[in-house]
Amino acid sequence: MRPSIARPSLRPIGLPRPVGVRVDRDSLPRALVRTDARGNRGVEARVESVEEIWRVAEAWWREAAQARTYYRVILEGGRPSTLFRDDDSGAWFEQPYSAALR
Amino acid sequence: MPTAQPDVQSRSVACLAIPSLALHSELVERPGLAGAPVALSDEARSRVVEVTREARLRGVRAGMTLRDAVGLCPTLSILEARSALVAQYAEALVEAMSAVSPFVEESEQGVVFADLRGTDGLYPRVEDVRRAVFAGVPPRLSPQLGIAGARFTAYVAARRAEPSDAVHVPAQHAAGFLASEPIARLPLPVEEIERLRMLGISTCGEFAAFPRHAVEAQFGFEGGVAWLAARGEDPRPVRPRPWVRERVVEVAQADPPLVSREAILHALEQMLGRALRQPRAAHRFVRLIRLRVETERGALWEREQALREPLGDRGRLWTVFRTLVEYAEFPGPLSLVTLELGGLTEESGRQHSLFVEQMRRREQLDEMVRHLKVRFGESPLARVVEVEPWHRLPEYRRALLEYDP
Repeated sequence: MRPSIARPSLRPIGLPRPVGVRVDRDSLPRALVRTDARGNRGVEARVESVEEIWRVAEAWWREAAQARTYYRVILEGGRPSTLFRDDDSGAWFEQPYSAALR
Repeated sequence: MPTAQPDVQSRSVACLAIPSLALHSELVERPGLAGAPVALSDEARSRVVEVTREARLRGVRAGMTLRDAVGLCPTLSILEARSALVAQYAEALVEAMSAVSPFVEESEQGVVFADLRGTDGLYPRVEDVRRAVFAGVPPRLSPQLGIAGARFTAYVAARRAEPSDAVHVPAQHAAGFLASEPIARLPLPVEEIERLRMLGISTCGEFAAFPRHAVEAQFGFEGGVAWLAARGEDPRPVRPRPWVRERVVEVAQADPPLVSREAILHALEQMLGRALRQPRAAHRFVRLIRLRVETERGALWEREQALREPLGDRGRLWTVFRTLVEYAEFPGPLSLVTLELGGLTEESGRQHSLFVEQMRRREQLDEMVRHLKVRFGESPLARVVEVEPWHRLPEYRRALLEYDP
């Protein structure tokens, strides 16, 4: 019996989840719709306010560069959330975000 | 050979030597080849490694190709060394020397030293020593025994002895006895021996004639030891084998030989269970495991593993053995498997933790995870590990790593 080939055992935490986002004329998020694992659309949640906007560009010198525009928003009912738009594809994602350790 | 009761200084060390142990081991197993020209081949079966006297008389020499050897001696019998057999006879030599002294050193396979000091009451005459040692050695191995006041002298005496005979060198005659001995036997590295030859020194007598300080200036500490050895005053003691802690051994003969790894694992699992059921292993912890297998063609494979912490748990011991076997490259189908649990200790040998409760919980968790892993094929638990905590994209910062106790 040959030794089995080890599978990669590291699974990243905090992967972004795709969400549907409705934007206003200024391209700011106004409402978001989450989708569950089976692809069922949930109830639309209205964005009450956009608290903060920042841009992250990673490895811009590579072909597979990642550029995102993050929005920290308050949803209806006062619940906070962080969304980002992939600047390359224009797709929207929801992702918990905290400051990186230095 | 003087047989009068010698003084203690003249019989401090005995050396039992079997020149060409691999060849003689094979000859013992094949009595029909007595007196026939025989050569031992290397593993690749391309060259001659050792030859009997009869083969040498016909011009066969070590290092020749088998084709040349057979060309010179068409009746030559060519044998292949079986390492398992050689190891078995080497162990028999150690046992034979252990009959006369508790301090026995195997310096190489086929050369065994014994410290005879204090044994003169049991074996007053050299002949008594010879008889006691040779009682445990098959005569067809042609054992040679040397007895002297120092290690090197005893070794040379053994090499000069006739087969199944002993040579005793009294202390006062040691220097003279060694004087004509070629320097190649001196305990010096090959390069230093070559250097001595280039200086025109070819015998121990010539070497010993130099002043000690001159030899040490040229050859350092080792040179000084060799100088004393050449004078019959070798200062190197017999270094007995380290004391072996208690152990349990399980041996299984496989007929037909085990070929598949699954079959070997099944056999080994049963053997481990039997070994742990031995009264000596009950409630004990194991510090060292050893697995030794012999193939049907006599090749030997052996692995030894000292455990990071003593283990008493069958499951964890089995994990170690299984890993050993899964990565092993056996030299052929296995006919004999020997499993050894060594360094047995009491449970009290384990260091206690200050955090007993936490440790207990951790052990319970580990045990549970092991069960789940067996059930589902992978561990359902994972640990959070930091990967690049400084990364600006959150998914690169941390990851889950499978928890595998």
